[in-house]
Amino acid sequence: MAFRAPGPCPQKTTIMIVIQTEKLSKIYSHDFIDVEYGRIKFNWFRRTVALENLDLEVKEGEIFGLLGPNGAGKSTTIKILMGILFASSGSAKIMGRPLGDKSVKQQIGFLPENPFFYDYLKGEEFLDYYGQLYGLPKSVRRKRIPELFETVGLPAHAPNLPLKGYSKGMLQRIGVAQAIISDPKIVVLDEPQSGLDPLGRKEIRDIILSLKESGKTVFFSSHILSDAELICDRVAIVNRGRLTAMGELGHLLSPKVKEYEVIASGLSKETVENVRRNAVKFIERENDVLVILPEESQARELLAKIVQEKATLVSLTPRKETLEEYFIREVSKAPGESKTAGVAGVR
Amino acid sequence: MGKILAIALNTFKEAVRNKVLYFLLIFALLIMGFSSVISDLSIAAPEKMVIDLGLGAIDFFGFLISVFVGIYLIYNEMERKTIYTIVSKPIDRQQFILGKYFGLLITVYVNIAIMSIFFFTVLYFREATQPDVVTKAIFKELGPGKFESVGNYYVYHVQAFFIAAGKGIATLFGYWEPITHHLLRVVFMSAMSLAIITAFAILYSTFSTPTLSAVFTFLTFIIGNLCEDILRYADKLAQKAGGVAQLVGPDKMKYWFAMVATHITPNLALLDKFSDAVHGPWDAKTPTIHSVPIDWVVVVYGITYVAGVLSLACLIFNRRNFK
Amino acid sequence: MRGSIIRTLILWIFFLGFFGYAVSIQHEELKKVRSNQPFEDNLRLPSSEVLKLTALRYDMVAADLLWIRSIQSFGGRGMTNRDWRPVYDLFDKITDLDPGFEQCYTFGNMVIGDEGGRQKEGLGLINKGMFQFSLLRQYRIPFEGMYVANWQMKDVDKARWYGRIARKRADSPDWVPRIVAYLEVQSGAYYIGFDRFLNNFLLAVDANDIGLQSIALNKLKESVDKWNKSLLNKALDEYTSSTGRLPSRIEDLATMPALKNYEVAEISRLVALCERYLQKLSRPELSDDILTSITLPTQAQMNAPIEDTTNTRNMLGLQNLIFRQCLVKRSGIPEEPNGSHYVLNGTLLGTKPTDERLEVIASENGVREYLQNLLYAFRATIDKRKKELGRTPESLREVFYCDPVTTEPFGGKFQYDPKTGNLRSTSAPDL
Ligand SMILES: Nc1ncnc2c1ncn2[C@@H]1O[C@H](COP(=O)(O)OP(=O)(O)O)[C@@H](O)[C@H]1O
Ligand SMILES: [Mg+2]
Repeated sequence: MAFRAPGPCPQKTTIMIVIQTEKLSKIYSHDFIDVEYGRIKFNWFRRTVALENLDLEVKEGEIFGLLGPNGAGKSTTIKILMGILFASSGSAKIMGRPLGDKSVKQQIGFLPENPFFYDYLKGEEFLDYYGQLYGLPKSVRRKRIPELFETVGLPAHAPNLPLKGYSKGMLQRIGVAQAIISDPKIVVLDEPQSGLDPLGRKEIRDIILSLKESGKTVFFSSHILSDAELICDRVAIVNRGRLTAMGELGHLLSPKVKEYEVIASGLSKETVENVRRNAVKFIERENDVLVILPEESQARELLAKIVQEKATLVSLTPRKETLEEYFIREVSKAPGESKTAGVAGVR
Repeated sequence: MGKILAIALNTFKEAVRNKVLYFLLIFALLIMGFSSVISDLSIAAPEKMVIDLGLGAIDFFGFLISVFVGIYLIYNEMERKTIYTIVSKPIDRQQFILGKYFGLLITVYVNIAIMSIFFFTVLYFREATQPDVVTKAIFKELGPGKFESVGNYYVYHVQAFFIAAGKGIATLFGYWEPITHHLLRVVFMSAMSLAIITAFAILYSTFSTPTLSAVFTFLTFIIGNLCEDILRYADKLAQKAGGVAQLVGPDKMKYWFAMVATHITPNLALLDKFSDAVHGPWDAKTPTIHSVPIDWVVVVYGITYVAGVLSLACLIFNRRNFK
Repeated sequence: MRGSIIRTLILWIFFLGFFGYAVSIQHEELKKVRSNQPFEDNLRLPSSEVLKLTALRYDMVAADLLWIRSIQSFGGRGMTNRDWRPVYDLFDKITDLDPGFEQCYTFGNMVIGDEGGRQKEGLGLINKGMFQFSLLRQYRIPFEGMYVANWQMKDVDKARWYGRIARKRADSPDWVPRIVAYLEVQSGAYYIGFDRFLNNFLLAVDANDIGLQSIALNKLKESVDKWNKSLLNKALDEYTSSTGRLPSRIEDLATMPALKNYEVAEISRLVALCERYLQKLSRPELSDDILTSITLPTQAQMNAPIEDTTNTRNMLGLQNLIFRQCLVKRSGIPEEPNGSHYVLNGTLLGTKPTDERLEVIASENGVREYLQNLLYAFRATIDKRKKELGRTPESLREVFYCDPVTTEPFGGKFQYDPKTGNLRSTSAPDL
C-alpha cells in the first residue's frame, strides 16, 4: 500500500497547514428532520456511511487534488469543510481554527459541484449579491466585479445577461468568479471541470494555475484524473469514504518506466508473430504495428529486429505509470470490491 | 445587518417571480372589486359588505401569499443547492433565516399594501359615485327644476377613480375619511398576524417539505384562529367534570392537550379587529396613530412571538445538514 | 384499421351509455328535489357554534354571505309559502356570527315581526340586539321593537318598555322621546308623558326655538287633555253605574268620587310658572305666538310663590320644580287646556261605542266642530237626495228612509224645513 503518512518534514515550520481533518466521518441519514446537535442526533433510520476516519492535510499555497470515483465521498468532505454538512464524528480545522469560524470563511471561496445559481439574476447582480454576503463595501464591489468577468474569461455581454441564459461553461466560470470575489486565501472547488468540453477543462485548469500563482491555496476535487495530474502539487485519493493515498504526485507514482510503446512499419511476418507473443497490447494495421512491451530487454530486441529487417521505426515511447493506472490499482485493491465498481467513474 | 438586507432583497426578487403570488393577488383584487356588486344584493348595509369582504380578503390572501410563497423559499434554496454557496459565505445561518423572513415579509407587506390601496380606492370610489353625488357634480341647479349640465358622466367617473386611488394611497399614510377611519388599524393588525404566520411558514420550512410546511402552517392558522374557542371548550370540559382535578381519562388528555395547544399557538383572535372596524370602536381609550387606535400590548405580543418562533427556526436551521 | 374503428365505436357506445345513464339518474334525483319543497327550505345550516368555528376569523364575511342569502330567502318566501320560521333561524345565525350587525336585528324584526306576523320572534331578535349593543348606542333596535309592539301587537305597555330604552340611547334623535312620551300618555302614564313633554318644551325654551316650543306645548296640552278626559270618563262610568241613567250635563259629574281631590297638571299653571321663572332668570317671555288657544293663567296663578332658582341658569334645570308646581290638587270639572271647557257630546252619549269613549267628553270647541261636521254630512245627503227626486224632500224620513233619531251634540233635535230643504241646529242656529 502506497500510503505515505506525512512524515516529519524540515519545512513544516514555514509551510502552514491550512486545511486539516482528523478522523472525519459522515453518516447520512434519510430522516424527516436531519439535525445534528453534537451527541443528540435526529437521525435514526436508514443510514449511508459516506466518510470514515478521513485524515487530510492541505498546505498553504499548493494545489491539492481530492481524487476518487463517483460516490467516494469527495463532495461530502468538501461540504463538511464548508459548513454545509455537519460531521458525524471527527474534527476539521481550517487555518488552524474550527469550522464555522466567520473570519475563516471570509478567507474561503467555494464553488460547489454542478452549481445552480439564482437564474433570474443578471451576472453582475449575482456577483454583487455574493460580494455583499462577503461584506465587501460597494466601492470595492464596483471595482472588483468587472475585473472578475475578465479574469474568468466571460464574454462582454455576460454581466447584463440573466444567469438562465448562461451556458454550462459560463456558469462554471461565473461560479469561479463568485468564489474568488473576496480575494480569498483558500479556494475550494468541487468538480470544477465536470461537464465541460476539453477546451473548457483546459481553461479551468489555467484559472486554477493562475490562482496558485497569485498565492492562493486551491483545494479541488475531481474524478478526471488526467486533468488533476497536470496541475496538482499533491493529491489525496479517497474511495468508499476512506483515504487510500495521499502525497506528492512524484512520490505516489513509481518513477521507473513501466512499459514501452513501439510503432513500426514494414516488419516481417515472423517477427510480428514473435512480438505478439510478448506484447501486453498489440495492434496491426496493414503494414504498421503498435506493440506495448513490458520489459526493456524485449524492446531492445525489437529495435534490433527493426534495424535488421530495415523496417521503419515510427516511434518509441517509454511509458511511466500514470495517475490513472495508479488509481485503478489502488481502487481495485480496496477490500471486498469488484474492479468495475471502482473504475466506473474513471474515464 | 447589511447581509440580512441583501438576503432579504434577493428573497424579495425571487418571491416576486413566483406566479402563485400574482394569481392570489389578482384573485384578491377581483373579490374586492366584486364586493361592490355583491353588496348590491344586500338590502341594508352595503358598505359593511364591501368592508367585510375587503378586510377579509386582505387578511386571508395575505395569509395565502405568506404560505404559498414562504414554504418554497428555503426549500428552493436547498433543492437548487444555492444554499451551498450561501452557507459557505461568512454569514451566520441566523442571518440567512432572518434575511429570508424579512424578504418574505416584505413580499407579503407589499402585497397587503397593494390590496389595501385597492380596497380603499374601491371605498372612496363608491362614495364618489353615489347617484346623488354624481348628479350634484355634473349638473348645476339654475333654478327650481332647471339644470345645466356642467360635466360629462364618464369623465367624472374616470376623474373620481383617480382621485379615489390617490386617496387610497394617502390612506396608507394616515389620511382618512369617516368611511375609512378605522380600517388602517385593521390592516395593521392583519399585518401583525401575518408577521406571526410568516414566521411559522419559515420555521416549518426549515425542517420539512413544502407540502408539509403548508399543512403545518394551515393548521397553525386554524388553531390560532380558534384559540379562544378551544380554550372555552377545555373550560367547559373541566366545568362539566366539576373542576380540573376531577377530570379523568380521555377528557383529562383533551383538557391538557387543549391547554398546551392554546398556549403555544398564536392567539390570532387577539389581533382581530374586524368587528371593531366595521361597527366602530366602543371605547375611546385605545391609543392611536394618526387617529388609528393601536393596541400596544398586542403589538408587543406579536413582536415577541415572532422573535420566539424565529429563534426556534434558527435553532433548527443552525445544525441542519443540507444534502 | 378496422379494428381501431370498432374499438373507438365501442368506447363511444360505452361512454354514451354509461354517462347517459348517470345523467338520467341524476335527472330523476333532481326532479325529486324540485317536486319536494321550495329551494329555501333545503337550506340546512349547521349550528351557530359550528358556523363560527368553520368561519375562523372570517365570521363577518360568513355573516354577510348568509345575510345576502337571507334576503333572497325572504323574497322567495314572500312570493311562495310565506313561512318565515327558517328565515328567523337565518337571522339568528347571522347575528350569532356577527353580533354587531345592527341592520340584521332591525331588518330581521321587520321581516319576521312586521311582515311575517311572528312578532314574538321578531322581538326576540330585537332583544338579542339590545343585549349585544351597549346601552349608549343604537336606539334603532329598541325603537323598532317599540314600533312592532305598539302598532303590530297593540301592546302599549310593551311598546313603552322598548321606547324607554330607545329614548335613553345616546344616538337617539330628539323625536324619539316625543314618541315615547306619546306612548306614555297612551298607556295612561300621564305624569310621565307630561314630564317628557315638559322636558321637550323647556329644551325648546332654552334654545329659543319657537317652532319646537309650539309642538311641545301642543303635546303638553294633548296629554293634559287625555289626562282630564280619563278622569271625566271614570266619573261618567261612576255616574251611570250609580244612578242607572246618563247625565244630561257635564256638571252632573262634578260630585262623583273620581273628581274629588284628584291630582292633575294644568297648562295655565305651567304657563304662569314659565313666565315667572323666565322673569326671574331675566330671560325674554314666552312668545305670544305659542300662547294662542291655551287656558291663560289667572292672576292668582301669576302671583303664586315660586322657588329659589340659584342653582341653574336655564329652564331645563328647573324641570323638576316646574313639574312639581304644575300639579294641582282639586275637585270638580278639570280645566280644559285649550282655553275652552268640557261638555258632553249628546250625540255620542247615548251610543257610547267603546272606540269613541274619549269623544263623549270633549271641549266645547271640539263639540261644536263635531256638530258642524254632522250638519255638513246631513246637508250633503239631503242635497244628493234632492237631485235624485228633482225636488226638495218632504221630510227627513224621505232622506234617510227612517225617522232621524240623532240627538244634537248640545241636546235637542235637528230642525228640517221641507219648503226650503234647510237643516238647522236648535242649539247652534248660527251653524
Ligand atoms: N444526501 C445524501 N443522502 C444520503 N447519502 C448520500 C447523500 N449524498 C451522498 N450520499 C452518499 O454518500 C457517498 C458519498 O457521496 P459524495 O460525497 O457525493 O461522493 P462524490 O462527491 O465523491 O462523488 C455516496 O455513497 C452517496 O451515495
Ligand atoms: Mg461529488
